[in-house]
Amino acid sequence: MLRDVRDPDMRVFVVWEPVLLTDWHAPGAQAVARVPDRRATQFWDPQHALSGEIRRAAESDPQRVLGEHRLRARVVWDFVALYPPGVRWTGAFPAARFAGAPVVRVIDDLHRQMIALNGRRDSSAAGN
Amino acid sequence: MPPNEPSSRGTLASSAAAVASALAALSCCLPLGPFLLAAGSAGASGIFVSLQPYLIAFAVLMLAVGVVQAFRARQCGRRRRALNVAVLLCSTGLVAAMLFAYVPASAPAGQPAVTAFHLDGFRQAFNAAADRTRVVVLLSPT
Repeated sequence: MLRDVRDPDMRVFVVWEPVLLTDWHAPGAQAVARVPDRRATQFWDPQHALSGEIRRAAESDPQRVLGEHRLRARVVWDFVALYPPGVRWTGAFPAARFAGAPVVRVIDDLHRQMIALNGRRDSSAAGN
Repeated sequence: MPPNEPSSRGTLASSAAAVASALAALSCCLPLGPFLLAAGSAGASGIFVSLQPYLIAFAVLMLAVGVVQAFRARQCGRRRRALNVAVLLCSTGLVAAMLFAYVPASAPAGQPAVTAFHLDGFRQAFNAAADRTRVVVLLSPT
């Protein structure tokens, strides 16, 4: 999917975290190879630090932080969020332009949002 | 209180003491305790992933204690020494497997190395790319 988004400046933060019983080890070669895109940076978060931050932020504003996703488990996972340029993380985990889970179910919507965002950037760059 | 309780307690205590002294005598030649603790904490680190660094450190420490104890027990027979080596190898293998599992795999070509997550560092990286589109994904390795 990332291949279809041509924006070379886009950054993808992939955070692996243990959720299932089989997640007793850090992500192996097969896992990290699932995201071969050069714009990606991958992390291993065994203590669910990011998940905890997202949960805390979602307590006050679930719709903006989690999108249509509703927290059912203790850990936020299989989750994706899209941020347009300009969004900064200062206090709580920032609200996303688009967020959802599970990834396989929202990937088409995410793709549309990314293309739209990229197109908007392209047109604004052309206008400058 | 039933009249026979003190004697059953005494029997239990003496049995426990006998087992403990047998284990202590055995551990003189065979450092089972440290090796089992090393193997146990290495195994537990696979379950309690958030405690993994501490459990692995403890496992390595216990392994070192076990090795020192094994080398000190010079008066042991050949069979005991062979058993020592076998238990040591099993424990070392388990601890090494957990250490290996703790280190993430190499990142695909062109990406920075896969690193342990630190909230402040991640926040900085997120904000450093504030002039760009960003995607954050949380996934399970398996």
